[in-house]
Amino acid sequence: MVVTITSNNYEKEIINHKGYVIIDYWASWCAPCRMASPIFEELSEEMKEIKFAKLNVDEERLIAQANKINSIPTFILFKNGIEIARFLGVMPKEVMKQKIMEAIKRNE
Amino acid sequence: MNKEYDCLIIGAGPAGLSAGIYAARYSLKTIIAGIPLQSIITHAWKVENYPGFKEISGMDLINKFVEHVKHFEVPIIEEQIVNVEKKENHFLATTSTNKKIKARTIILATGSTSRKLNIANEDDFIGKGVSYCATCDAMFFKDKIVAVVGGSDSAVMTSMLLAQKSKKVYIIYRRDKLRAKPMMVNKVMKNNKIEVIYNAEVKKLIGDDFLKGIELSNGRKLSVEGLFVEIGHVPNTIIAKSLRVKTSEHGFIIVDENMRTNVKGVYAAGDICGSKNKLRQVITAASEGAIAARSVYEDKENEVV
Repeated sequence: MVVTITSNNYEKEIINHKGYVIIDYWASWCAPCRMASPIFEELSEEMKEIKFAKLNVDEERLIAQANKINSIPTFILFKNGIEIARFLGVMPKEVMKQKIMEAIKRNE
Repeated sequence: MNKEYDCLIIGAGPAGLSAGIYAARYSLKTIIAGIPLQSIITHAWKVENYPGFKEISGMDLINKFVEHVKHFEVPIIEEQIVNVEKKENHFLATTSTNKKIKARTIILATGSTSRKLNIANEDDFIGKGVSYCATCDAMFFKDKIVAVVGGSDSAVMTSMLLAQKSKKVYIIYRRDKLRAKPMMVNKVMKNNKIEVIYNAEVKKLIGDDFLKGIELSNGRKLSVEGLFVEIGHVPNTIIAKSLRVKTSEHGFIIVDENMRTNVKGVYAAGDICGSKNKLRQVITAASEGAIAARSVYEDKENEVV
């Protein structure tokens, strides 16, 4: 399951979240985002120890700006509300999974 | 796997999808392997010169091609082809998830990818200021100063898109005159947000985590937060080379006027083939896809393949 993030729940779901959460920053007009989103959905089913979230950069510009999003799709992994890694662009599922695991390992 | 196709089309951009439509109409058993949304045309913010559409985004246009292909019930397998082997009477292709496809002929339509600047730290700044797709990233540079490298139609189109929202747009071009079509150059000249810097190349990227500026070959330093690279494309010829298909000194596949390569049963269409200065547009890619499909049909009828 992927939680939709807006300015209303950003603090609760991301900043105050204890543990890991990864956000997919996307937009409807972005072709690579459309390729990435089913991969992200699948990962959310496989990596239950992490919360998966998505944020539409058109609708939530302020959050996107605050997170210095310069290109989409961007994926930011947070631990206890703090960014610990960011990944850019579409990648195969296994590659993304590995990147997430490596980032978690580095920050344990 | 037991099924043998008459034609495997590798690549699902305008050339490959158009080849699929024509192949279906020649009643060739056809399959397309490739990811339509990966086509470079999805980078086009606006396409204004494909007949029948006064203005359409590259992504919407490719989706229409896909709909058209599906209408003729040609399967599209949305995977990369990672290997092709030439057997005695057919080709055996392997997809990224190890599926096998057997086909008597192959149309190579794997297109091209954006050319990089090839300077230090370029990869570190991708997504942190350096972009090869303004359509994807322009919105993040609202009220910021940006630069576009290149002088082609794509470079000019990119600068027009950026000028809508950004504070200022530099175009940096290595020659003394933009090579985009005159109508587009005029638009640039009239836009007071755009400044063209001629006879210059980007030499250095400046910044810590995110891009802050660039240094040019003429010594000038510019404060920019975004750098959009539009300096052409490199053909994707890995599969072609593994099949010993001949390419030109510029890396493009050499084809005859009917899109046949030097290898029997292998054809090519779109950005991947032809002379360096060939017109590379959706309409020419689609046209070449059609021609390639007809050549497959003719060669099959004449029992050449």
